[in-house]
Amino acid sequence: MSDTDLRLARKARRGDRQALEALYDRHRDRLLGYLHKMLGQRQIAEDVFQDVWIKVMQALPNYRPTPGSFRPWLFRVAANASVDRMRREKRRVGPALDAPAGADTSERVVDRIAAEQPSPESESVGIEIARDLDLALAQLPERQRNAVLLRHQQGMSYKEISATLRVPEGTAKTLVHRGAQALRVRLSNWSDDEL
Amino acid sequence: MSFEINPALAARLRKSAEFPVSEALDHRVRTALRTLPLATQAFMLPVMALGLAVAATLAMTVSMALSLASAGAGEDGVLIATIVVVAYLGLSTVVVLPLLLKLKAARHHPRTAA
Repeated sequence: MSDTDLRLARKARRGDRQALEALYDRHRDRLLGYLHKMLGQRQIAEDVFQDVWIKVMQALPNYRPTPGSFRPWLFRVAANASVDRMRREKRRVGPALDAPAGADTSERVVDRIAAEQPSPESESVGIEIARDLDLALAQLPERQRNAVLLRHQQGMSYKEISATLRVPEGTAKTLVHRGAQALRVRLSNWSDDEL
Repeated sequence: MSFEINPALAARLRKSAEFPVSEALDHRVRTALRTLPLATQAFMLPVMALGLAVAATLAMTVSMALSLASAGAGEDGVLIATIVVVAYLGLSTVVVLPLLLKLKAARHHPRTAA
């Protein structure tokens, strides 16, 4: 898998647009899945998704392809873009989840997350649990949310997470552990069977 | 200390790993990938530096050899001076090139927030 990425990334760096599109095809659904859970709202996730690919085009010449490095690099660009967007949104609507979602609405940020179109997985199994999970994720600090999603949603190794977040592997493990613990506490009203 | 998560929760997260890209979004991104100008490969700093060093070495060697010859120096004198110049510039390149490579590597990563 990473060999294909390596080959395509090398070609894309040389200006091969077909190789770039092939990389897009290989990673688009997973990238959007990550952004959707990271940002909590589909519309924002789609905006950032588009920005990420434009940033990839701009940053490709500065990326040095090595085996297995494309996915962490791509998700690093995405993580940075998400954090930038979350900070912009925070400045716009306020930091608290119970803050108003906009100037002309009585809706709260938390209501907007709950009212989001459910993710595909939630249609078959408890919409309520899916919303609680989205809410619990939204309440995690950015770095922990990032680490938990990269590990448990995207199935990255700690080495890949450490490369994505540019932190030592031990820190990546701690972030995943703390995030997982916080999720467990926030979802403690659901039993294992219900989950 | 366990770094793992409740298996049921992990399974639920894994189910959300892929989110299908809508047709409209896919079209927008593909259009961007096909039409926006691709940034060209970064300036090849170390290669350029090496080229300049070689060119400077050759130029200095030729010019010094000509100067010494026109000043009436013997063949041995010209040869020794040539070797000294080549060695000096060669060693300078060996010292400077790794520094340039490090500088280039440092610019290779996109900005990391947080």
